[in-house]
Amino acid sequence: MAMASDGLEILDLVAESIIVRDLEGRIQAWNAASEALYGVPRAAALGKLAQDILKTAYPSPVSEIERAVLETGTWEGEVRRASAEGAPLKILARWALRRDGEGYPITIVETGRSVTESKRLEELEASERRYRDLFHYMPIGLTQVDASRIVPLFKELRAQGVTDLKAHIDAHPDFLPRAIDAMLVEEVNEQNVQIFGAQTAAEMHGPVSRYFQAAMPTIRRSIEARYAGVEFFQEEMKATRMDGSVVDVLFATARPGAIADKSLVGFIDITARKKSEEGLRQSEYRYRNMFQAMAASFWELDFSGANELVRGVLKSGVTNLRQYFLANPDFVREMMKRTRVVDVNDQTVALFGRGDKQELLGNVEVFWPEESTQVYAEAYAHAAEQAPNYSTECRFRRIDGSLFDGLFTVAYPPREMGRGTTMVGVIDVTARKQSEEALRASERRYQSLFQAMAVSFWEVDFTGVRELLRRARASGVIDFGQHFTDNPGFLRDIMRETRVVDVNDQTVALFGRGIKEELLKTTDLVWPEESWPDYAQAILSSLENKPSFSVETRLRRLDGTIFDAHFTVWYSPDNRTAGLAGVIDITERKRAHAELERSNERYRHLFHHLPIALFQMDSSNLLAFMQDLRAQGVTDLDRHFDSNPDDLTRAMEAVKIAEVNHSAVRLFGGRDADDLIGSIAPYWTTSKQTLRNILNSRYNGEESFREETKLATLDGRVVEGLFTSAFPPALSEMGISVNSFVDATEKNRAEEMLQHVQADFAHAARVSMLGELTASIAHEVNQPLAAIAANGEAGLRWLARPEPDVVEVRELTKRIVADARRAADVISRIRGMAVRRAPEHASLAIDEVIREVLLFLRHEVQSRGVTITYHPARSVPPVRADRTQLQQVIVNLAVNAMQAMANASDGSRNIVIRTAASDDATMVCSIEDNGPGIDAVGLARLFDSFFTTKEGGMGMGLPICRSIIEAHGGRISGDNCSTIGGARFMFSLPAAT
Amino acid sequence: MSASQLVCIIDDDDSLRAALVGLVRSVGHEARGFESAEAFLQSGAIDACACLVTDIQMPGMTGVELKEYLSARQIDLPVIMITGRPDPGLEEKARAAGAAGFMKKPFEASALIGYLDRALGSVS
Repeated sequence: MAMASDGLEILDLVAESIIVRDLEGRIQAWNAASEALYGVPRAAALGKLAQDILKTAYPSPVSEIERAVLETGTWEGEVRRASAEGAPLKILARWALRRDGEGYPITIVETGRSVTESKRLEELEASERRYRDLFHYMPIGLTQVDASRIVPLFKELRAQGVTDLKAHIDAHPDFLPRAIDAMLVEEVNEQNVQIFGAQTAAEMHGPVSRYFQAAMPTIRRSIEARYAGVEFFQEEMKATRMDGSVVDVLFATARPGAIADKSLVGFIDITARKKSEEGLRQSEYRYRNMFQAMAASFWELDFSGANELVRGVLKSGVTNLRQYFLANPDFVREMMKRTRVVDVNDQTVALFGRGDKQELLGNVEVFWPEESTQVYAEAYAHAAEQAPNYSTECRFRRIDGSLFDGLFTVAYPPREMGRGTTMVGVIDVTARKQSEEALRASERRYQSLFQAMAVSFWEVDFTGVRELLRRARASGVIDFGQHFTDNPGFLRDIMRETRVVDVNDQTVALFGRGIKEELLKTTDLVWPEESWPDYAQAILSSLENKPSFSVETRLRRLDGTIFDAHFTVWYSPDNRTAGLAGVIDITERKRAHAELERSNERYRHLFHHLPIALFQMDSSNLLAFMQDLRAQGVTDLDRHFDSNPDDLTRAMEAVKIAEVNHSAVRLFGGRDADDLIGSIAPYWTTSKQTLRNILNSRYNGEESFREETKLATLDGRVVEGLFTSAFPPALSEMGISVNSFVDATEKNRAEEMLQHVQADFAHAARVSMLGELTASIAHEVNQPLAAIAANGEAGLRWLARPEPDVVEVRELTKRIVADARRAADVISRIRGMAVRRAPEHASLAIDEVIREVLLFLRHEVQSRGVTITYHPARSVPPVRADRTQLQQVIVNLAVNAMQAMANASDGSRNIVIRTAASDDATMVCSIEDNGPGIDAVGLARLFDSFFTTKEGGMGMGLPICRSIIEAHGGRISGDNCSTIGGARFMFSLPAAT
Repeated sequence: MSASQLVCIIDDDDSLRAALVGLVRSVGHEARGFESAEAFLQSGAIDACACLVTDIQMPGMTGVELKEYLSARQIDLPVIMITGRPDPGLEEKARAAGAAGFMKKPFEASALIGYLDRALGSVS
């Protein structure tokens, strides 16, 4: 996997957009994901100003952001951009500042991910496809080796105290075949099958030994490296193919940290590269130039001092250098100090130094941190063994003390040891290592998919096609794209010249009828005319020397049915007339995707057009925040907020509005959805407690929340309504919650007005009722006033006597006080009825209210010669009501009864008041009389406004009683079912809870 | 002013009755209070009684009815009537029945004393 020299390729494998630009904003790198995301080809982006291409709208002034990046090295935020087609994009961008060896900022690397909702699905799809293609068509043969059986062998050796495996193998040559036989190929990818010329992957399973027949030293060294605990080993070697021929490959093996008994082995076909390297070696001058041009640090070192030291220990009887180095790291450090730097190239100055080459021309010890001591030792040991070269990754130290990962390569000119200088190369692989980590992780993820996927493979021969193209070119065709469009016949010829050499079983199953030979014809067999443009694109890509081409198209089975397919063709790099094509049936996936899209569209439509305000919140940060609080042991969030008010702000800031619908935009006074997206803070200025309640309910693991609340709008209004928030676990995990707000401002205002009107009417009715009771009221007040006047006069007279009688006066004065209080009580009762005020609902005992009414009506009852009997129930639930209005109802019903009986000529006039609990939740009160009852017309219109049987009556009493009772959630009715022969009125009220 | 004589007071309102008894006593007469006309008639105080002060509206026999009852039995007792509910025509009714005085609550104590003086003076 040595792809360091071609960083872009690695960037292209990354699903995220990566843009590198210099400090002036000129784009230096633009990966495939950026092309896909912004619709701008790399060629069009490179060298341009980023702002010209991306037209970025930043969340804060860009000058501030740039300053922050220069100060802190990173920045992260959401920016708005537009694709080349003008589609709006929302990008989560991460900026990282890269500095040169001297710490000067050079570039800004932006990693971008679209957070535009519609893009997500597509990206997911695209990335899935990229990974799939990556594994299959990556020009790296991948092999998974089961090395579990080697583990006990190693254990045995370690138990015996063997530290140097090489020495052990030297002494016990039979160990090597045992170790090699312990390693089995378990799984290979298609590329590997190609490299080794196998027919199927399964054919390659089994002992690894057969592939290393010509490379025993390599496999031996890889086993030794593994024994020494080296994580990554790579070497060029000659691999033996299935047919016995050999091929130059770069062999690399890495142990994925977690699974020690599995090794991932990569083979890269380097035949072509080897050839070119041979050419390069022809001239030392050209060789030097190549290194100068390469992004590699290059050192000319003089080992003579180190050699002298080593000769000394060899003389003293040491035979195993590696063992000696391991045991004596200080000795190795001393060797480093004696290893002189003769010359370095400019890259080295840039990578290691501070601009002054002379600084580097000392000894090498300063560049090797402690942890890399043994790498130096190993490199030296390799040289002593006259291996041609040694290459490994290790950590280096710059002159300023900072560390970095480098790919260290040392090449030893044959027989040059000790006689001259040695060339050493170092390549900065810090960035590559990170990509590789990601790559490894994705490979691991891919394993299961690899097994499950059935791919149809076609081996095709383009010889005839190339001949056709050559002839066309000779006849003057330059633009083949146009030529294909203008000449469908030519395209048809091309297809007929694309010969199918071989297909796999999967192809027979997918396309054919069980007979492979039926398919070994030309490709027009399976390409329906509608898909020819796609095929033309594939051919064009080969003309542009692209390594591969992928397209989603429609192909035809032998039975004529057409299906959706993912088609990839990979051109052999050394033989452009051969190609491998892979076809995957994506009918199901396409259908599923289309279904998903339709469903998504339906929900989106619904979301946007529902007549209630809807919000989608991104609360992933909130979840993290809450997790932190839980980790701190916070159980009661509300209490926590009391003592940490800042955390409430933090929690609020952790929630962002991600999407809103039209109703929400309208209600909250935005011009468009973008006005509302982002912080939730502006809306909660009036209802912090509701926000706290939501957070609490969420913290307590509830799945939804609802509360009547008031929210502020962007244009400064306050809207009232029902706020609901749903965070079901499935959405919660994605950090999404769905919220709605049903505006009740108008409804609440109307209700409030209604209450006012009702209260006004109730008051008017009370005043009118007081009018009817004027005579009684006057008597009630005059009685104590008369008593006071009489007492006062009497007192004055006792005082006016020659010997004032103080005893009498004291007695009289006490009475005056008592009468005055009595008068005040009467007046306050009347005032209570007469005053207009907003109803106040409180928990009341009905018994108390009725006794007050009886007191109030005492004189009226007496003067009318009526007897009221009150039968309170032994226990009735309290009711929630306004005291005055409830009194008003009872007074009204009692006065009605008395007036009805006034017309009766003689006999006793009786009223019976009862209370009862009809059930636990309801109180019932009845008022019966023994008057004439209600006539049929009256029964039907009893509670109608302006209906009255009384001369001078307004006809408002009973309607007001009904509106009062109903406003309290109760019912009122009237009939002639009195137990004492007249009319009966009943009302019920719900018990106070 | 004449010597001490018994004035009987009938009112169903306890506090007003007590106030009137006190007022009458303060001017030097003896006074007894009754809560209803019936109670007064049954008490036997009628023989010693020189003047009657009564509320008109009372449960049972009203003040006017009491005067008519006494007149019907040729008992010529001066009766001063008081009312807390001056319904229209009530004063005429009271005068027609032969009331020695008619007052609306609340009333001036001097007015009652004036009526008393006249009533008791006329007897003596």
